Amino acid sequence: MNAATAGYNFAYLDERTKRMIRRALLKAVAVPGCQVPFGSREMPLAYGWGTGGIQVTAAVIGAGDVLKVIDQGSDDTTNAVNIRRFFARVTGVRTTERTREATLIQTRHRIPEVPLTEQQVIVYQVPQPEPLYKLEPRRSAATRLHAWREYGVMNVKLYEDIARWGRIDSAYDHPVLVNGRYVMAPSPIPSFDNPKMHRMPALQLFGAGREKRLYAVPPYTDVKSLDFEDHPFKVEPQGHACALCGSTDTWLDEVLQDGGARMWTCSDTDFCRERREEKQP
Amino acid sequence: MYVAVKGGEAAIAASLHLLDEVRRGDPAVRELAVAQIREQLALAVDRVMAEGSLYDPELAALALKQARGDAIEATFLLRAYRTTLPRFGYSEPVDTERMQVGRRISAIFKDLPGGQVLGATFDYTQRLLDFGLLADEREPAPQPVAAVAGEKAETGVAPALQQLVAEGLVEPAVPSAGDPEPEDITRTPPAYPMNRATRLQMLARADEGWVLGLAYSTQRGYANTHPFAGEIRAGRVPLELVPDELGFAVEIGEIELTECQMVNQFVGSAVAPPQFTRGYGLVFGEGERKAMAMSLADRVLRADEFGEEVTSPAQLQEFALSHGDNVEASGFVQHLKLPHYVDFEAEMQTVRALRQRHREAEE
Amino acid sequence: MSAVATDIARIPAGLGDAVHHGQAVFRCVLEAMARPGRLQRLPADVAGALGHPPGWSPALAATLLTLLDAETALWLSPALRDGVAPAWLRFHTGTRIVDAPGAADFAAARADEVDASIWTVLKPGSDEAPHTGATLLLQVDCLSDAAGLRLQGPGIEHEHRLDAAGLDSAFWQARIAQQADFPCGVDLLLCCDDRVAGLPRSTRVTEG
Repeated sequence: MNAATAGYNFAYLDERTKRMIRRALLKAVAVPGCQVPFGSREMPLAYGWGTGGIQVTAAVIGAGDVLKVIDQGSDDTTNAVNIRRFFARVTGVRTTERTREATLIQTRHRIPEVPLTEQQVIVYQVPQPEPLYKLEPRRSAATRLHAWREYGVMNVKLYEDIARWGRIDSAYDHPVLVNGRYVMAPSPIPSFDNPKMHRMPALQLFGAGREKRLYAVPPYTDVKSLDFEDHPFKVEPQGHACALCGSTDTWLDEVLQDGGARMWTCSDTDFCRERREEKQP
Repeated sequence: MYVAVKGGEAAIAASLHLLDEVRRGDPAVRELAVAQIREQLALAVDRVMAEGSLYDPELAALALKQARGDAIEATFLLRAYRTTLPRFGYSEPVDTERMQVGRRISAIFKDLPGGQVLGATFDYTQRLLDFGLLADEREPAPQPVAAVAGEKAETGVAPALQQLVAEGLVEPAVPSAGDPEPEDITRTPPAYPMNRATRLQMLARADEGWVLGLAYSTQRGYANTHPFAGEIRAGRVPLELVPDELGFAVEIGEIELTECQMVNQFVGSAVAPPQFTRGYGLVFGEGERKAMAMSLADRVLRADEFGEEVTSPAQLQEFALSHGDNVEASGFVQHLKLPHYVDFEAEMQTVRALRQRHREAEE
Repeated sequence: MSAVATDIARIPAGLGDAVHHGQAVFRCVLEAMARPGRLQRLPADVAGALGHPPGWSPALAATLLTLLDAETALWLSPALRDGVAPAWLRFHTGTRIVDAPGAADFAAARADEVDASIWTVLKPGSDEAPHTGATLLLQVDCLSDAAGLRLQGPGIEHEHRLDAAGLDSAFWQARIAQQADFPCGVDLLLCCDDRVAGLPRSTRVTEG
């Protein structure tokens, strides 16, 4: 810790706020996929920039944790750097870019390619925790729909997508059904990542600061992407190979180059590094 | 301590350095002191305190300086600081009847009981740019107020509406049934429908522009109101606390407030006789525009109490209240500049597939 | 405050380090809830530095100290309410101790003090706000994950087993009956010595 953070508690939040978040997290784990309201605090980071994820991480993190922060799959995007820098300052914990070394991973928009383990916790930053918000913007009404398990509006929307476009039009933040009960927003991860949530050995925690909701998916919990029997959810390959490691089964970023050429590289920069190192003799 | 460092960190460090530079501006121009902001840009300071929910003119002025004059950024700074403060206790409710009024006006009395106090107002300035202010220093200092207007701050001025309340013409200002302890909106996540005490908290720290727009919409036919400014008063009120060990109230200081009591005609319902109902506004500091706008918004949000039909956006609690927090709104609107290339790539994949399908359909 | 509370010198210590030990205990409890039936052990340094009333298991004491504060309402069984414990909890956490179990967010008891009715007197939450369901903490004399109840559901890859001494079949049948009310329900934490196991309402229980 340095002089600038000397007046702050470990992990920035005061203990009472951590307790409030911790109690909410335990309830979230007990009711998988259900959004639990919490007294989200103002954080020294703008709403929409990961305040929910940061509060969850701050409530969970301990001095022995090894923290990894990614945004768009990369450890080096400015927002990931900023959040990692924040926790390094206010906790002094070891940070890493290596997925396998991390005990705690905070992410925005991706799930690492390396399968996560029982020893890890992943915290998602969530901009919009309510999966029904485009169909029912009144949160009070949406809460009733969840209570009644009344997800007809969502099925109608997906069905209309198929009728109009021949496919479900949600390339990211594709809603999932958790433990057969709650429809849940997986956060804006590409649909490509949805299957990784299903029966994941790691505990998955979700924080939405501005909307003041958090939720959880315990390990080995069924997470099913919503679909129809005649239009099953499927992950479509992008049809390219990573220009750096050759991978064809990871999520790839499309990089436009001078002169209009295109290159594809792994979005998960740590996975790409690992694969390249494996290839070297 | 091991911290992974790569390009992003250097870019952020450079940006922070640049920010310091542009905040300072031309070094040939004298640096602005926080005290100057506090004293001479007091309305900006008041707005930041109101929307930051923290009464501290010094820190609000500092926040404005650090934020380069951006009121919303300054509000954000103040709120992020506020959230780290321990709570030593809860004050007693302030009593605006005990206000030492620097301004007090009413639009509904020809001769306001207790007297009008115009105070300092832009209302009659005629809005001509005063080029005299271009000069760095002005001499001499203006004469003290009392010598000019013969007005002085008064305390213990009875509410203007008192007489009309006694006649039953204006609804009394009484606590909600059971006088419940108000929720603290900075601790308890919102749940709709929201009671009035909580709504008023939301409005008090909502963005002035948002509340002003809502209020304006009610005057243009989006909700049915007939408002009159019953009383507007601004000034200092004592703040009292009951320490556990003493058991009685002690004054811990004063804060400046602006309060607006807006009265609205109400034709009555099956259970209530016709009378004037109220909309209420209260903000930190001098914030007359905000207090008035708040009182209009408050009144139309009471639709359920009076059995009024909800037809307009300003009457919809969730819509009107959950979008007024400018720190939340600013963050979420601006988060769109964060990288979204993973989602965008996923969308491109969809659009490409749809275009392919479209082409095939055309052929 | 009762006369007991005035004698602050007699109140046992709490967590050795409110910040770091509190975090470690929370992670134990979080793991316990996330992996129902798996026994989680308090770190030795946390258990070693912990103060608690006589007769209380370190796991129960540490969990309550970690989760309670002035925003929570706690019900204590007669045995746990006896002696210095209420003053100890109020001193360290500021929690409100309530007389009616139905008003409690957290309820704590020794296993031999509860029967099947405990599942219906505690707050189950509502369909719209299931998170308001209570948490029940029971101190048991013996806890094993080698045999006993069969557990399935979220947090469990195939099947976990759990055996807690002193809780009879009627107690578990009432717990099983609660499953029909999901997402409403009461979440259970079993504490034995320095170990804790969770049984959230999402777990499907069958008697082994």
